[in-house]
Amino acid sequence: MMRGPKHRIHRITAQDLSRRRFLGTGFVGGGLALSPALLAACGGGNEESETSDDTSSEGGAGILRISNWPTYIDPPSDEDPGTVKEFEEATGLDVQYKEDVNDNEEFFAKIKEPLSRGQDIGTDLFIVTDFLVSRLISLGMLEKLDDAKLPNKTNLLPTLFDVGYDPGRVYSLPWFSGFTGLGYNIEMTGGEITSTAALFDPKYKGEVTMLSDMRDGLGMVILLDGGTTEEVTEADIQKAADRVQAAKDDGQIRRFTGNDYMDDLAQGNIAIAQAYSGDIQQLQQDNPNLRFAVPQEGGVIFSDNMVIPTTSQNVDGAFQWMDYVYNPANNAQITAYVAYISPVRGVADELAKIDPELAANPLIVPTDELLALGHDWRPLTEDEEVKFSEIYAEVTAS
Amino acid sequence: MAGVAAEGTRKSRVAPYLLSIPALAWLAVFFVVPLWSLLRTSLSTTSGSVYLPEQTFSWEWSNYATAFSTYGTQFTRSFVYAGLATLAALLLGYPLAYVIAFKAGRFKNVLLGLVILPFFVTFLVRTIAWKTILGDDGWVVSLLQTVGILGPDDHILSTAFAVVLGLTYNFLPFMLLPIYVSLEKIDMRLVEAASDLYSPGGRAFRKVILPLSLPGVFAGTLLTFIPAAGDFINAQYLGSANTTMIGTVIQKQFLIIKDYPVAAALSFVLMAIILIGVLVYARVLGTEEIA
Amino acid sequence: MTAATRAAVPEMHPATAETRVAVIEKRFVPPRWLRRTGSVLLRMWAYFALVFLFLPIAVVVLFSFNDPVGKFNLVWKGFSLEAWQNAFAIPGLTSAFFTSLQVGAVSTVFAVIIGSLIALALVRYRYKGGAATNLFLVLPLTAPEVVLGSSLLVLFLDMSWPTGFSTIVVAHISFQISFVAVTVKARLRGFDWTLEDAAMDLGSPPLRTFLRVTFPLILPGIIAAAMLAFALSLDDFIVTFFVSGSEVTYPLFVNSAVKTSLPPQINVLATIILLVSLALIGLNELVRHWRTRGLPVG
Repeated sequence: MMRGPKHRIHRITAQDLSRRRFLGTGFVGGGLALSPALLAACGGGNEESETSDDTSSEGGAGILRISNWPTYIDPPSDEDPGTVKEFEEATGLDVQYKEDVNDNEEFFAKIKEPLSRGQDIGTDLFIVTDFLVSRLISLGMLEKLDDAKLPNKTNLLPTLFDVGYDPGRVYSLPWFSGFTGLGYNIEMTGGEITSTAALFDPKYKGEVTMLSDMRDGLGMVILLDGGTTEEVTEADIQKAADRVQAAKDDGQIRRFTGNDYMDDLAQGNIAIAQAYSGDIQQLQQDNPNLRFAVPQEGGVIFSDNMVIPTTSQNVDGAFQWMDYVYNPANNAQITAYVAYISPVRGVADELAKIDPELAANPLIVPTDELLALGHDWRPLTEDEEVKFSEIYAEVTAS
Repeated sequence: MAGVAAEGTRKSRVAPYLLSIPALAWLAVFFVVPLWSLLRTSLSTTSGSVYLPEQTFSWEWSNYATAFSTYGTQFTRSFVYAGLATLAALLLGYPLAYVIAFKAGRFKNVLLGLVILPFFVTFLVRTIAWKTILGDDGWVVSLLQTVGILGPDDHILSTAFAVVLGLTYNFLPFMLLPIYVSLEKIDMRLVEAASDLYSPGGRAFRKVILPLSLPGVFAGTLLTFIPAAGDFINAQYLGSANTTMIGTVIQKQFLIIKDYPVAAALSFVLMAIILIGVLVYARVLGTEEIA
Repeated sequence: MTAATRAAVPEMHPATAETRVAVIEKRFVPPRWLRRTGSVLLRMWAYFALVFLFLPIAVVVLFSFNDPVGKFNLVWKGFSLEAWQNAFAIPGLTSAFFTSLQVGAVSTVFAVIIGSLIALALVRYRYKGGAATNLFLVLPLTAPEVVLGSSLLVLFLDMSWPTGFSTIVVAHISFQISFVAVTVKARLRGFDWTLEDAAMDLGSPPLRTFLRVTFPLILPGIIAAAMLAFALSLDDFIVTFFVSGSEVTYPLFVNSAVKTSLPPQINVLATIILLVSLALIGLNELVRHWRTRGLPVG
């Protein structure tokens, strides 16, 4: 984008235009309309916008732009400046931390065109879920990790090293992991829930929500039906989708949701939701009746991962960030807030120093039995990905 | 008639074109061009990577057939919901606009300002507020359950009713404002004369006020119906798995299924139906000008 | 009455004709009590509509004083001023809020100028292509937002125009223009343009005529359109989502917040906009008051 001296452009403000040009010739369109610099300049009416405008579109040395999901890091508080601030102090980098990832597919839809053309997407490091990582790798949109600059990479839990979506961790490092399982309101269910079958129990008719993401929504149902997500077939998908369709037609399922089941649970509108483990931990503050269970048939384990786009303006800064958060002590601080499973070895001990109760929580520091209930999805081919998504989308969007 | 008035103006030859150029140029670049490429997409086949597909223009009408056959229900549903919401907005909006225009006295402008206020609370925030109001444990549901209108296990949230209510609410100002504008322009002397000569009850209204406010009703109906038909926020926040509207489908086609040709075809069908509706409606109401 | 004046108030004719008919036909006149009841019912219904309009707004304002225990400000827990005292405590929300205000201001200025011009052309002149232009202006209103958003994104990419503040503004202008044009048109139709002609006849140059006669006449319509355009910009989520790059506006923030937490500050900022709008409405009233008094020809 052309960036002329601000004060010069400022002289031709809209106010002037509304008088001079408007009255003189009635001509405002044309060249003016197509000048992004002018519009940007007009937006820069005060100090703050100029900084925010500049920073949002331009990175560079000394600046690190991070895009993450909302409430996925410890915020600054009175006692503690928070991880972002501490990282800035430790490295001298200026971090622009944005919580602008809300949905993998939406985020992908937004970044894919610019990325495929090598245009800056306004971020140097972002965090997305495993299946999207494998897609971005196959499209050649990610920067390779430089292990020499990541000494703390050795702290990665060995079980997370050779994963299907990024074997050997060439492009990605996990941010946090969690279970897709059952979140429920024990007051409304009248007892503990242990099986995915509860989603289809007529007792909870109209009080159940399911996730609209294909893997999160169908994974548990496939496991309930005796299939596996590790070797999933189209028949498994179809069978599970049919089951959900039937339940939906009966009025069993109230809504298909993204993360937005949380408000319904907190408000007491639904009894059981397909849910993400960490969410429920955080929600118990709102509604102490909420519980989370990994179903006995198994739940799906997902990982959100840090990756660096090929258009990153500060790859070294991104490595510094990754290395910083892979220090167990630093990581424990984030873990204590987000309440998901940390991928970093030694965090459990550090966490015990902060809050022993958290360290004893199996959904944050999982036991082996619990981990045994967790299932991965095998990587899907492009065609499968589209086919399966379509099968489920026809259920959820009709 | 405008022509008669325009004769008095000196530059009537060039002036209207000069005045129109900025808007037309802007819309040509930022509306027609993208729409044109969308039209081509809707008639294309795709190949190569699913995520970054190559499109080949091939008069692929089957995209339209797919759009219709797969999502006919959602089309119907969207138009039914939007129609109900528009009707409800008209029933609520017209009397209010009428009272503000003719009966509010010196509170007229204050009331009018108040009516626009909800506009300034972001759409999403307003809709979330309805979630609070209509919550299963909220006072509205409790009240209706006590009175016996709702059964003990019934709820309002996540029903078609809630969606229509949300649509009505969110687009009500769009209905009210044009009606108010057309009512306000009516010469008060006319109304008085009509009231004197006709009975002041219904007939003065029917013979004088209603016909003169029809352009406002027309504009209001369109401004309510069109966004309501394409909306998906209300269905998402207030609806259930069985109240999905066509906006959601288009959204999902673009973002999740990534079948761009079908998504484009769906969009065009929606636009075409709305446009035809607009034209028919204009003809029926006999409004000379569109909107 | 000159020909021009009569043309400017064409509504007179059908009504007067009807009036004559009515004098001849004697019709049933409902008794006073019935009329009274009708009037009361009408008012009650109108008040009901007002309550309907304000219920959610009241909830939004009320919940800005809530003291939520957890992350979701959805259930009333108790009165607190904390969110107001820390209205700008959430950096992401605050910057999103100001981004939205700036986008709204810039796009509204452009859209109002462009849209009013074409509205003026359509109402003031009868010209070849006028009807087609009218129809064309409605088209953008019929386009689903997701269509506008996704197709604009591709256009910006083709133009190598980096997405961000400027693209949001451009996208907003694109959908605002039609609304502005429609609103201003509705206001202008049936106006008495003879004033303008009179001024010109008296030798006032076009520029002065516009400034002193036309502009004051159309100003209320323009202000109404500007408020609508600004509100639409402030509201927009879908189109913005596509063309925002990494810029976050207020609705974008709310949409993501809904999924993880709803801090009461969202309500506080919404209430602040509400109060500012109220103030603006008041100001508008003052301006109108001043205009009608200071109108040179009126």
